Order: sequence, then structure tokens, then C-alpha cells
Amino acid sequence: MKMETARAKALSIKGLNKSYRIGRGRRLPVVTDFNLSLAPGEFVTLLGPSGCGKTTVLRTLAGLEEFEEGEILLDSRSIARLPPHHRRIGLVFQNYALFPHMSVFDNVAYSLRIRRVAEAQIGTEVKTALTAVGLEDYGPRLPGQLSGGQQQRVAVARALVMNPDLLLFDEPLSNLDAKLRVQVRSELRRLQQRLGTTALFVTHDQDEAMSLSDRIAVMRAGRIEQIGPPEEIYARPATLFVAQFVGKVNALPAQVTGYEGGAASVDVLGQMLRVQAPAALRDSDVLALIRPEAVVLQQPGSGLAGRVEEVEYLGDQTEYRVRIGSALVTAVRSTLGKSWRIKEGDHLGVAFDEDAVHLLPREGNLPT
Amino acid sequence: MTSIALTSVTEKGRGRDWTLYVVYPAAALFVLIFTAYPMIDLLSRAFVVDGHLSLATIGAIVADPFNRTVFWNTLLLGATVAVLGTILATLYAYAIARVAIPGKRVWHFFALLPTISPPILMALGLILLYGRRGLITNELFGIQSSGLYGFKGLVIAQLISYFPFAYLLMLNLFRGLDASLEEAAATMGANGWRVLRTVSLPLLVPGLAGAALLMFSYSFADLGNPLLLGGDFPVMSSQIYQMIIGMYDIPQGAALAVLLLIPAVLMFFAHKMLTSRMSFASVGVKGSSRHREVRHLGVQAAALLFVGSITFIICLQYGTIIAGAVTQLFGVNYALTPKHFIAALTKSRGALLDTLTLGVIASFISVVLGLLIAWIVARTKAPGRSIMDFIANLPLAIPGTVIGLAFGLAFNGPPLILTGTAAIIIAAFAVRSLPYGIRSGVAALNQINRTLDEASTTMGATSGETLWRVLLPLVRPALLAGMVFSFTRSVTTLSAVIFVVSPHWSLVTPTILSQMDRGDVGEAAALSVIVVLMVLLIIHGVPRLLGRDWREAH
Repeated sequence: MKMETARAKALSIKGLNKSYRIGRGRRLPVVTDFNLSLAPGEFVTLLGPSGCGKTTVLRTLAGLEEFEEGEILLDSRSIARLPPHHRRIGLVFQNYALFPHMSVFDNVAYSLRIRRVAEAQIGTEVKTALTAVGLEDYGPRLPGQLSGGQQQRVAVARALVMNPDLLLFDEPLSNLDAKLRVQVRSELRRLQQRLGTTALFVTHDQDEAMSLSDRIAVMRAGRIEQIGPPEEIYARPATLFVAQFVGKVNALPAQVTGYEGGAASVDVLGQMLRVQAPAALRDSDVLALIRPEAVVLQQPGSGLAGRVEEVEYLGDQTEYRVRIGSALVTAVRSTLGKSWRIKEGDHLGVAFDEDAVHLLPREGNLPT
Repeated sequence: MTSIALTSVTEKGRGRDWTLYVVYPAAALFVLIFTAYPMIDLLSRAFVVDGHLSLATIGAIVADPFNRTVFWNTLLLGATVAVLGTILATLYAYAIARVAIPGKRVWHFFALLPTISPPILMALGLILLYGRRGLITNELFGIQSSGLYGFKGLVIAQLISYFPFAYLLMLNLFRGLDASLEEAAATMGANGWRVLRTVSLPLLVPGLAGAALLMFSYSFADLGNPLLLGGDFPVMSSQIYQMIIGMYDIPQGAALAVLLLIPAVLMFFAHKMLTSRMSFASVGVKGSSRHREVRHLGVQAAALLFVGSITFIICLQYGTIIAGAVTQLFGVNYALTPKHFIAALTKSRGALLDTLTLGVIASFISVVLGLLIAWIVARTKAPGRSIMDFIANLPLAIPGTVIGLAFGLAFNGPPLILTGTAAIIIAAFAVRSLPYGIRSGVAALNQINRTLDEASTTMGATSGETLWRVLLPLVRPALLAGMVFSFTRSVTTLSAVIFVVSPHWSLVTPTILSQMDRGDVGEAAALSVIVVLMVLLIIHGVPRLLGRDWREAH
């Protein structure tokens, strides 16, 4: 099973600006000074809440939206002025956008027929694409006769068969049920890695972004807030917004009391911690970001004195809201293998895992 | 970092996508030549005297007390037909939609029969039954002079002709009304009558007003019934006809037509405002539409009696026409004869074939053009598209007589002479059907998710290829339904074509009119029967011919 692939191309978006008209002379910016570069074969996800402009960026790349300023390069060739039907960019839609009156085969063959490829060649290429997504026997079916997951895979095959310079995904998994979503996303990742096509994926689901991407770009209000590998986004978020968007986090106001050798001494609710931090944070008010799994619950007497206010059973895990002085801290423990049951109202000791604490300047990051 | 002006991106993008550049000018040209130009020409005839703008002609028309009487006659007739027709239609629709009565398909079928017949048939049937030699008036009661001709006769003829259109509208409303609203009221303790009064009827008010305005405008536009039954009760349309055909006074006729235009256009925009303001009558949207039928014995009996009586009246009309077609001379000699059918199929064969051919061509044009305009309106951002849409939709507001006259006058002289050609008839048909073509096109396109267009585009298709390969196949069922509708409308109209037919190209409805004028009632009846059968055949035959998927989509 082999698919013809063009040499993967690098994508570069420079200074993209786009706004919508909202009445006479007034415009609402949706994408502001957007810069993003993808290495050939890289899989990057645009992650952000709805309305942050991520889909707009995607549609701009496909040529479906106009923009005011900016440049889009595939390798060194500008595609910003090309009409959408000349861009060779495969787009997989959220609703799949399969043509309901055409069979699976005809759907996949569509772009080839537009390009007037010979029918014999169309036959082999469509078969290859359908085989790649595991639907080689479904050619004669109509889209309406397929399950959601199968439709989604037809949409992917239809984009692949174009042999696109760039693959775009617009929340393609959001219409699948939770179980299927996990399965399809790992298939998608394997397929993209095998074909080596440069891909940009849009989603608001952080699990999807984490599991799929080489790098994640977290977007907020038309800008990239942070871009980096998933581990970096999760462990060392650049802003409180990023930290909160990719998972639960305790954002505790703290004081830097000393700085030495690239590490700051911080007082977090009374516990002294040494945390890796840039020198800029020396002698300033900071926010200590601590993920719930970095909050260690102990027998009373050790660590900070806390009292359990709320217990939330989640199956594999249990979440606890613990009052420490005036602060409310969220902790999480695996449910299995614990002899010690914690109940509401229990008094216990709390400690923070020093290595998992991340510091942000308090300025510009209001705790919520 | 390059900065690109917004326009250069889009224009460059569209520059290679030529479809819009071909389709848009073509559609705009058609609309300008065949809708805007005749109307402007008509207005100029009424308002320009010796090369100057002047109200002299209109002033003279209005000053004439006879014309004022005619004007008030028209309004009185319209209002009466509107009110009575809406009541009939609402009751009929309620009985069919909500009351448990047997034979609903039969009642529905007969109620719709008048919608596919030339309205002139009602006059024909009424004359045969109640005229001076009428079966009922003369034969049964021996009355010589009949009260048929005039206001009463017109009201009856127009009610039978046009109430079915209002019935269809009300039926859709009753069926579309969210049943859960009524169920909610019922769970809160309201009984059937109270639910109807406090929930259903208030929601139907815009629909009722819409039905009344519809009836009003049909009454305005009717020419056949006033010509045959008007007697000493002239209305605007028949007066325009007399002025043009009888006295050949074109400026006066044009001015009268403009005068008729005023209430018609007002009515149209009132209807538009009403429907846009009162859209809360959530018709046809989500929610349950499974209504519980009324099973109260008294209500069932009353409903059955009502729909039965109306159906009986309609059947009596058609039965009489059939009888008229197969008897020597209805009212005098009731001996059976095939001679009228033979005459209709020989002498009027030209009219039948021309009607069929031109009707099919025109309905094809109006549906295709309607889809293209709908596509421009719904799927592109072409500047000026809403103006084109507006002009193309104007014929909805303009009575057929006025359009027909405008056509006849505008294309009777330079720059474009079409008098006596098939083109003028096709254009008159197409222009009047175009608004329906656009409407069904827009509705069909709105059903298609825009991402299908976008998917097609990203896969390399131009907008033309997308239209042809993706959109057209998906809207085809709607297109065919639109064609059948448009064909029916063209075949049955009299007012729109009476001023554009010629010896070369004759049509059925004017032929029936002239046969009745001459007193060839049997031939007129035979021709009428043939027309109704032809339309029925097309309406029921075409879907069957096209197979299963068409009917499902329908």
C-alpha cells in the first residue's frame, strides 16, 4: 500500500491580518498579525476557544476567505493571490462536506475528474486513497449509507487523492462520538506520518491537540498566545490562559524571595519551593501554576494544613478541593490502590511537587 | 512582508473563474429587457404626453366618474372575494388537516382541480348552469333572465377559481404549525376549542392575512371571468381590455393599467412587510408536526358536510363542462355528439400544440434562469444582485393584464419588435414564472450546505464546475417541480397573453374566450376538457416518468 506523495512543502504565514466589516467603516479584527511556519511534513494544531480565529486562518489558507494583509508561502512560492481552486490544498471539513448524490468512489474521484485525469488512472488512484483509509470495498456506496466515522475517512481520502501540498483539517473529529474520536485520531496521525504531508489541524479539544501534534499553537482573540511541542505547552505555559485552556491548573499568588543559579525561591501558601525560572521574575510578584496531579495529599501533620471541602469522584480518578488558609487548591489522585479514603471535612497535609511548578509574572495574568 | 489590497485578492481570484461573468450579464439582460423595459415603457405611455412628463392622461382617467366606478368595483370585488375566499379556504384546510373525516385524498384532489384549470372555465361552467339558457335556471326553474351576470356571478366564479390557492396556503400552515405548542397548551388544561382560539389562531393570523392578499391579487388579475360574466359590473381588467381591443385607445388603456398597478403593488408590499414582521409563526421549522385529529362527532359531520358541498359545487362545474362538450348544444339540444371534440382537436390543434410547445420552452427558461439568479443571489457577492432579484420578482406584484399589455405595447415598436412571434409569448410566460423559479431555486440552494461548494472549490473546481457537478444534480428535483408549476401557470393564464397572441401563434385560453364570444359553447367546453386533461397528465405523468428519487424529493 503506497501512495504517491509529492515532496512535502513548508508553509509560512507572515503578518496575516483579517477583519470583518461590522457596519459603516467599522471592522472587527478576527486575525491579528498572525505568523506561523510549518516545516515540511510537520503536523501543527491550532488550538483555541470558539471565535478565536483558528478556523478563519484555515479558511484563509484554503482561499475561502479574503484577508487584508499578509503573505502565505508554500516553500518559497506565494499562494496568497491564487484563487482557491488553483491552490492544491486539501481541506477536510467539520461536516465532511461529502457530495450526497455521488458514490464514495465519485466523491474521491472528484478532484481528479476536474483535472481531467484519465479514467483508468482515476481508478487506481481512488483505490489507493480508499485503501489508505481502510475503505477499499466502499466505493459504490452513497455517503448516506456510511457511519460518521466512515464518512470522515472518505473525506480524508478525498483530500489525500489530490496529492495536496498542504492538508487542512477543520475540527474533523468533533462530530464523532468520544470513543470513535480517539480511534480515528490515532489513525489520522499514523496516516499523516506515513504520507509525510504537511498538515494544519484546527480544534478546540486539548486532548486531540496533545495527541496529534508535533507542535501546538494556542490561539486567543486572533493571535497566537504560545506555540511549542505539546509537553512544553502543558508544563510551561506562557500565559495563564494557555495553562487553563490545556488542562486544570491551580494558579496561586506567590512571592519570589530569592534567585540563584537560574532558580527562584518562592513562597507558595507558606511552603518554600525552588523553581526553575527566568531572571526577569527575580523579586517580583508571581503566579505559581501547579497542576492538580502535582498537589500531593498527605496524612495530617506533614506539609501545609488543609481541610477537604469537596470530593468529586470521576471513576479512574478522584478530585479534591482543599482549603489552605484563604486559598482553594484542587488535587487529583488515582482512585485505585488507595487504602486511605479521604472524605469531605477531613483535615490533611498538602505538599506541592517542586519539579512540576511553573512561575508566571503576576502582571497580565489575573488569577481567576 | 507584502501588503495586498482586499480588492486585488478577490478580483484576481474571480478573474479566472469566468462563470459569473457570463451568467450574471445574461440573467441581468433578460430581466432588464423583459421585465424592466416593458414596465418603464408602459409607465411612460401613461405619464408622458408630447415628450413631457405629465399627469394629464392619468388625471383625465381619474376625473371620469365611470372610471372611478370601475376602480371601486374592482376593489369591492377583490375585497369580497378575499374575505369570503379566506374563510372558505381556512375551513376547508382545517377540515382536511385537523378533523378525522374519510376521503381526504378525494376532497384534496377536487379542491386543487381549479388551480390547474384556466379560471375562465368557471365562467363557462356557471353560464352553462345558471345562464340565460342555463341548465338550472332555465330548464329546472324556467327563469329566462338570470342574476348571474354582474357582481354575484363574478364573486362565485372567482371564489371557485381562486379559493384553492388560499386553501393550499392554509393547509401548509395548519400542517406546519408546531404541534408541541398545542400539546403544551393542552397539558396546561386548555380544551380543544380554547387551544384553537388562544394558540393556533393567533399563530395563523399572518397566514390568514397572506391568504386574503393572495385572493385579492388574483381577483385583480382575473380577466376571463369579468369579460364573460361582468355584465354591467365592469372592473379594471375588463375595462383595459375594452379600451385596447375595442376602442384602440392605447394611452387611456395604459393609464388604466397604471391605475390598476397602484393597489396591486401596495397589496404586494403590504404582504411582504406582514410576512417578514410576523415570522414568529414558526411554520415548517423543527418541532413536532404530528397533530391529533379532532374526533368530535358534531365537528366531523359538519366538516364532512362542508367539504362535501364545496366538492359537489366544483364537480358540478366540471361535470357541466364535460356535458357541454359532448352534447349538441347545451341548453337546447342534449343529444350526445363527438363533434365538439373533433372540432377542438382539428380547428384548435394549432392552439393546443402552440400552448404545449411554448409552455414547455418557457417553463424551462424560467426554471433555469430562476436557478441561475438564485445562485447569484444566494451564493455570490456580485454587486447589484439584490436589485436584479427585486426586478425579477416584480411580476409577482403586477396583475397579468398589466404585464400582458406592457408586453404587447413595448415590443410592438422599435427598438425590439416581437409582435406576432413565439418569442413574445415565451417571454411573457417566462417573466411571470421567473419569481417562482427564483424562489424555489433559493429554497433549494439554501438546503445545500455551503461547505459542499467550498469542498468542491478546494478540490480545484471553478464555480461553474461546482454549479454543474454539485449544485445542479442536488437541486434537480426542485427544478422539475418548478417546471411543472411554471408550465401549469402558463397554460392557464389568459390575461397575460391576450395582448400578445397572434394568428401565427395562438393559445388555448384566448381561443376558448373567442369561441365563447362567438357562442361556440360546445367547442369551448371540449377544448377546456382537453386542456385540463393535458395539465393533469403532465403533473402526474412527469414525476412518474422520472422515477422514484424525484417523487421522494418532492
